[in-house]
Amino acid sequence: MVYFYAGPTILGFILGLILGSRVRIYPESKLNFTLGSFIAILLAASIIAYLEGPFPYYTGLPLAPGFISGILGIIIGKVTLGRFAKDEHMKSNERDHI
Amino acid sequence: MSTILKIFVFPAALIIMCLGIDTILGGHITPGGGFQGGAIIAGGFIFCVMVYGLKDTPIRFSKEFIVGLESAGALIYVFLGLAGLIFSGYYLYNLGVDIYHIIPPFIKNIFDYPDPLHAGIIPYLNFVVGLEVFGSLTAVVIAFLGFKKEIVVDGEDEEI
Repeated sequence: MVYFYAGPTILGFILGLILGSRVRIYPESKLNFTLGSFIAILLAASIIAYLEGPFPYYTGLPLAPGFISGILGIIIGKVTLGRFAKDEHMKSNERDHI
Repeated sequence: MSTILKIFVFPAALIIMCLGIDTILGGHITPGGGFQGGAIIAGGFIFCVMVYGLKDTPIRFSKEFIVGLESAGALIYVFLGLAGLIFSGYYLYNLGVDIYHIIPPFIKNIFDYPDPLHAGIIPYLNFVVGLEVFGSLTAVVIAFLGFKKEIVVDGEDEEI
């Protein structure tokens, strides 16, 4: 039984951080997702990770560590790097006229 | 789009993306892997874009960002293959995480998957394939949504 595996957890966190760094809610879009919303998402993700369960051979923890590290990476990436995400894809598409 | 969808879809997209990450990470011992996980992550983004539109979506991938992800995925895949070619003579040979016992144990423990399979570089190949597939599918969707139909009316270009 393996209780903890650092590498995949770190990989999941990195991938979540990459995705979370692109999450930015602009006021013009009139979407209202506050910090409480992200805490609710974290709780829901924890429940889903518990229901999903661990991988075979990694049954030390009762939940899916990749799932948890992914959602933590997304939320931390959104909080720390999300403000730098720019509204670029529309402009670049218009510029290149693809 | 309805208010219910606008409230529901963004959290659901984040959960779907986490499922994709989990699918990538368990690719060597469970059904799934890089392609499936990357497609699931792209599916989360597409879900968001379909509801909020390309302009208002809270998950914003710029063209440069997607190109960078795709390029990084493809380059790391090639370099992992070349490492096998250099150290063993076979392209994409699974070297494991301890090349010729020169890697210190604490670094080896970080990169090793400690299940009985000891999959070596396979999880990392899954990871970079996931990046590549996610970038490709996302780029296709953004390009299709960003297309502007162009017709020629009496010699003048007109955008629709």
